[in-house]
Amino acid sequence: MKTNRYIKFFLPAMVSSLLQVACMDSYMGIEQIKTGSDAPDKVVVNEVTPQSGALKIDFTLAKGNPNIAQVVASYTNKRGEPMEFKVSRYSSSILVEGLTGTDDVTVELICIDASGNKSEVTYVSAAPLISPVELALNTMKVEPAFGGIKVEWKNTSAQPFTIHVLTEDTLQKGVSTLVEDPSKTIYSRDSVNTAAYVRQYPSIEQGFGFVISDKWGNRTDTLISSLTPYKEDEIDYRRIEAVSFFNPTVYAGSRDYDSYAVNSATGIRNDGNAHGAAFVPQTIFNGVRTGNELYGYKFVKNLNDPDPANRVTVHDFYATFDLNMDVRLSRVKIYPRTALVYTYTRSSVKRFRIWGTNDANSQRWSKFPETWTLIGEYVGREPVNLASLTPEEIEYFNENQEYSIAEGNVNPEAQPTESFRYMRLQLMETYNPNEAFYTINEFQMFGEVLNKY
Amino acid sequence: MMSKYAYIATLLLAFLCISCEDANDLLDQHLKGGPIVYAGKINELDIQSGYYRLRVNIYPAEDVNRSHCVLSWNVTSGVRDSVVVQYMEENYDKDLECYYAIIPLGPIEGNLLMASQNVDAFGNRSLINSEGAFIYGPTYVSTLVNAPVNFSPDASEVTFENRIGAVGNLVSYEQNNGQFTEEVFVTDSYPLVNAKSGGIIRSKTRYLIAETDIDTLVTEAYLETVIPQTP
Repeated sequence: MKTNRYIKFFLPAMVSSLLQVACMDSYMGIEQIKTGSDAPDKVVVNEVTPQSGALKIDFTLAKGNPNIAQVVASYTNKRGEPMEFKVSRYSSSILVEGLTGTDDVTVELICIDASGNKSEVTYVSAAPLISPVELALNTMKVEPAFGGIKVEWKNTSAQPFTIHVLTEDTLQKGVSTLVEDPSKTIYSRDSVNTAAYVRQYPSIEQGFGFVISDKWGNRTDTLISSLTPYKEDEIDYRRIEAVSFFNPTVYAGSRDYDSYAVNSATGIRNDGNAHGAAFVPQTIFNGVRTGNELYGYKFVKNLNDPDPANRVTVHDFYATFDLNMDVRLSRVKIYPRTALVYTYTRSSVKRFRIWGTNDANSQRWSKFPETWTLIGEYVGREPVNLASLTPEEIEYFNENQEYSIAEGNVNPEAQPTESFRYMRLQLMETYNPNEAFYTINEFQMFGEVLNKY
Repeated sequence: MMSKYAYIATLLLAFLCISCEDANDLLDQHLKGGPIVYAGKINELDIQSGYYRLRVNIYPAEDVNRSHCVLSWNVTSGVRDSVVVQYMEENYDKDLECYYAIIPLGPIEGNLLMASQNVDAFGNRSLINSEGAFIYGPTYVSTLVNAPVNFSPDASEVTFENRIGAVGNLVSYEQNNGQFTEEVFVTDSYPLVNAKSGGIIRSKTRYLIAETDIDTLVTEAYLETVIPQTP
């Protein structure tokens, strides 16, 4: 009885499902609908404009055919691969890219209608200008830098391409070969930022190779250079000590300039006051790049004036250190507070100076700046649009905010190659000038250590 | 019992019927004529404001079969008006490299949404491109004020305060013979000759609200300022 019931209800359902499956036609997508078989008239080429690695072809379609769907330009590249570029009929030019060399290239142009009918081929033969990758390789300049090498190239048409860096590797004992290091790959996409440092390498003569490739699969020959990077060490932050000869203080707020900023005995500007013990200048040399480290206030003139309009912020903030070693700096990196509200704004440092002196200067604590050496003055970058920061801009600011001591210096009176033991940082501007204080998380330094104490 | 089986059998047949229908047959009914052909649309519509009129600059996309463009707008709710702009040489502005039309808009003033659609030689229409525009009229002009008049110490010259958008002033003043001078357009200062001390200087300010406007606007009423009496 129960079996009968199952048969009565489930059998029809199963049979109907089987029928459904059996009758299903395999669906192959919408086919090309043919409404005619006449081939459209061929494309008429009006002008060919050579560009860097490309040809811009201006053309006209024949009147009287509303069914033309697209224009296709094709050529075979030097690797024997077919390259194809398409535009709709609502365009009167097509850009054929990915060309290399300056020899004549033959491009085939056809138009295709909505039924898939192809016109006769129109042949265009013209020579492009030198391609971006070839131009970059021809103009590439490689020179030693502190801790590595500096690579410069030209990208006048701001085309995107990749510079692959090859370094020496010993795959077989005694045989040194150049092998690509993917972590050092350089990406170029604009005509301005066309230099990069490749680090970190020992100061011994070694080979470097460079190959440039683009999105069309073009790959240049390898440029090989043998270079000796300048010696560079990371300055050990654990040896650096903040010193109190210029009266640094701890006070959670702005202080009056006349009362606190100047040492009345020496006439020298005092170091600034930190917000608290956890925010003193020593914190920029503790290896901690996140969180909230140095937090130092600017002095304010007429701070006690009841009218805020009469108060004047003095932007210079000083902090002084004994490095416990003689160093010649090559570059420094600033790690700011990483929260987005500090990125290119608020209390992050925009302009600063490095002063240095050594033990030979017996008046170093009684005469500043006349007995000290200005090592350099440096200015931070501005983003293109603060309201819409790009990931690259944020990454640069938080992770790669680097200042080359010699090349990044903007003060002609500075002597960036001088060595020193004692360092006085002069913070000069915050990204937002209205901010009453400065913040830095870490001040990383690189250079040559001459003596340790 | 039999009626139940009949019911099930009908249901099975219905399933059979539906499941065996070819989806392509359905699609072909709609696609047999080929894809819809659109005329090349208008890429950009640049509209310049005027007094009860507009100048519409038309930048069409490439289309060898292009015939004309239809510009349309709402006159009142639900009632539309339109003009046809032919793609001919006389409608082409070589400086701006575009086709254009100057459209008188009668009693319409204020904001207006202008729709544009291209039509090709085969009657195919393009996608529609709409752009907002502003038409000046008496309501707008009534909000404009005259620039105040300033006199030199000896009242021999007048100057006008700068107003945003003002391009100059229409000036006429009372002379010693009691007659008013002919109205002249003054962009900067203007000397008063034989001006009657204590007489009247009449002025109206002319505005060009936006640099791209095709009409200047003049304030409705004269500003009458007394010429100061000098010793």
